Amino acid sequence: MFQDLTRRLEGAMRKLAGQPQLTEDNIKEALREIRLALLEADVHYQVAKDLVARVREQALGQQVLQGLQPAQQVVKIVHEELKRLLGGETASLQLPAKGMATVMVLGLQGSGKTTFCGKLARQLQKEGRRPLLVAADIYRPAAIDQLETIAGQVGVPVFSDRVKRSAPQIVKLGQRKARDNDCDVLIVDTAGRLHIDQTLLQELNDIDKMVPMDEKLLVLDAMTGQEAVHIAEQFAAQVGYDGVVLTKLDGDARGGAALSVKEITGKPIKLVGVGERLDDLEVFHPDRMASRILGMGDVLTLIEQAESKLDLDEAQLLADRFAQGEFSLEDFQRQIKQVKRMGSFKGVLKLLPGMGGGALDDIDVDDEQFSRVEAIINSMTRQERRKPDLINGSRRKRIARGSGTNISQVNKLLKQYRDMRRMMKQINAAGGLQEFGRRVLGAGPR
Amino acid sequence: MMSLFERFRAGLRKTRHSFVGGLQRLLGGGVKLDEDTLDAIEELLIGADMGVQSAVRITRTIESRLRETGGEADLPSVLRVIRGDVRQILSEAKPKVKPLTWDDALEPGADRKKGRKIRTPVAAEPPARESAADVRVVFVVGVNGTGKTTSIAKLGYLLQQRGHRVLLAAGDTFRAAAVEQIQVWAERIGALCVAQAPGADPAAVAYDAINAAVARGCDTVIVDTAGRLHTKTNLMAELAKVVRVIRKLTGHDPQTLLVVDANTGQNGLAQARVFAETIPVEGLILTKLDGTAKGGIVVAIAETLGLPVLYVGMGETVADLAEFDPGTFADALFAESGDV
Repeated sequence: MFQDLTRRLEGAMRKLAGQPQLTEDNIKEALREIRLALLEADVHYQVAKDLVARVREQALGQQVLQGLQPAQQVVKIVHEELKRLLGGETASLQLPAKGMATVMVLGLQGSGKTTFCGKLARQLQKEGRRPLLVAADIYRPAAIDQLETIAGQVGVPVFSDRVKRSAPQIVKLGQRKARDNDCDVLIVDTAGRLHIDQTLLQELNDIDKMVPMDEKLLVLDAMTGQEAVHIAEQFAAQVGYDGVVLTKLDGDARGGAALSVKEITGKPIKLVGVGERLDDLEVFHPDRMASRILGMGDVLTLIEQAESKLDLDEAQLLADRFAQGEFSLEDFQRQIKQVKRMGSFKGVLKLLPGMGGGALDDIDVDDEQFSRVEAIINSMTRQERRKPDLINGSRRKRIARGSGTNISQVNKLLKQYRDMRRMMKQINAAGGLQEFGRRVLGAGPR
Repeated sequence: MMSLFERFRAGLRKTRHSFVGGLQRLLGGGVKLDEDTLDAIEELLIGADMGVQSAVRITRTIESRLRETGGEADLPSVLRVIRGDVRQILSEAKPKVKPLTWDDALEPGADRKKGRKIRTPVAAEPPARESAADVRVVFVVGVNGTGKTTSIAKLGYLLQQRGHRVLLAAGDTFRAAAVEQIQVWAERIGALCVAQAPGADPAAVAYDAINAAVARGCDTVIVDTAGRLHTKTNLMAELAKVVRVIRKLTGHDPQTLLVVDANTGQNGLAQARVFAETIPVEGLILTKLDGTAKGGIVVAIAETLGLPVLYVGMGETVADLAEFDPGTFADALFAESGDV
């Protein structure tokens, strides 16, 4: 997400590095770069202009902070502004806890409404609610079939009506079916429509009148260009909605739409679609996104992922053994399992500071390598894993055969293990990790 | 029946309004061409999704042309330069990007990293099926939600109107109910349709469809595909495979059309680049050009990648697809009078 924007801003910021102070002159180029980067990211030109003006004002008016490089100072200002632009706080769905909650999903053709309906149903289901999907797109061929198939995949009931009834009537009947089926959330999938199509916009208001909606969500394609703001404005004026869902963020769209919509319409971005699977729905975090844009890494997401997917007891155990310098191949095996649980290795790396932008483009992280290493370790006896020094030539041959690899790959793994163990001994001799960091990297907390 | 020009004019109404209107406000009866004016023109071009690079270059052209004539800028003169420039970019577009081929990869000193990308071998062999060589195969690709299936229906209709016998191949085997959607369309336009079960290999669907076309005497096959983001390497590799299969059967490349939503911003450039680097793309179908969309991204795509626009979708009925004409498009987008 926002990868290219990150790269551009990093480039502009590098030019500022080493400057003693911020002046109109040396900041000018950086500001131009920021403006162009924002425009190329499809940020609305008015929004980009205002943002750059505010950054300039603050940067020039500000004292050079002690201990902070001018470049870092500008990054901080841009970061704050981006964060503000993206919406400040995380906004969540406001659904009444009691009774039947109602959600209507609206947007242009092809923005991803039907898929989002499925994802939302899946998420609400996970939260213990019982959603029912209503197929109110009576225009596009096979739209009803699509929603029915998706409902089947999620495992929630769906209401559709192939007799030519009007959309509001269908929603009303859907509400009745939801009640009969003991469901507590109604999710209405509407037909894609243009933001200037008065007749179809009126249909949305008619639905809302027939069955009042708790949440109206505008689905917006992250790849939308300068028109995004106009779309958001028109739907707000003609129908009104409570939040925006940004879809297709798993591509490389820079998503300037996200930057502009909140600023111009005041509507928060609540959820983002990040993949083709029904689980690929995430909460939108403005603060994290701002950090990500600036290449500061999405450490919070990483921590959250780590917390939800790592076995903490296991991790503590590994850390202890690490500290004692007793790291065996058995521990290594556990560690690989932990990392694998967090998803693809490249995905994890991307979230780290400095790894955004194009930093990973040229690195081919092969997740299969983990599987290979795992296979090699699995082909060892328990004794061999605990005391790898036992492994002689004939054992190597057997391990290679057993894991479907060859002897040189087994050797490589053993060498990596020995290097790691040696490093660990050095760390422990030096007085622990922090001390090691200070000595080796000349950094770290004091 | 509206003429093509009138349809373009209607489709670009909103963009023309804001662009020409903005320019009118800026230039009034004529102003001195200074830096602020140029910046504002640049902004208007960017506002039409033309992209920073193209906008900057067009603005420079305006500057140099008008400097020759004394540096006075008024609405007609500025519009004339923009119209001419955009028309030229769009009509002279020749594909600049080609997919990497096995031949490139085998060349001594070929970049090893490039060699790792998806490669589409160039076939020199005769078609596996002689009678399939005469079938025109149109291969329609694009990211999710751009309107591929609807465009296929419109294109099928257009070709049938011209006396071709068209067969649609339901190559989107991934999205829920995509097969049903194209079947409904096929029935509406009176074309044949070949489909397999959801989850089937799209290459197999294309293969079957071409054979069915030969058997049933159809001269054109239009192959649908599942929408895919260009960043998903494995899905892009799947497209390359379909092209290989088609090429092997017919002995020639399919006519590949990339569908681009006219609302798309600068990401359209990244999309077009990656698709064209994966399979030989002949040109674009620009969809949803229906009153509000900017469509400026096609200028950036034509300028940077040399991909021409071949068809334009401008409405909801099957008859709403037209062959693209750069001159008419540029004239309609930058017509002097902002009204319809």
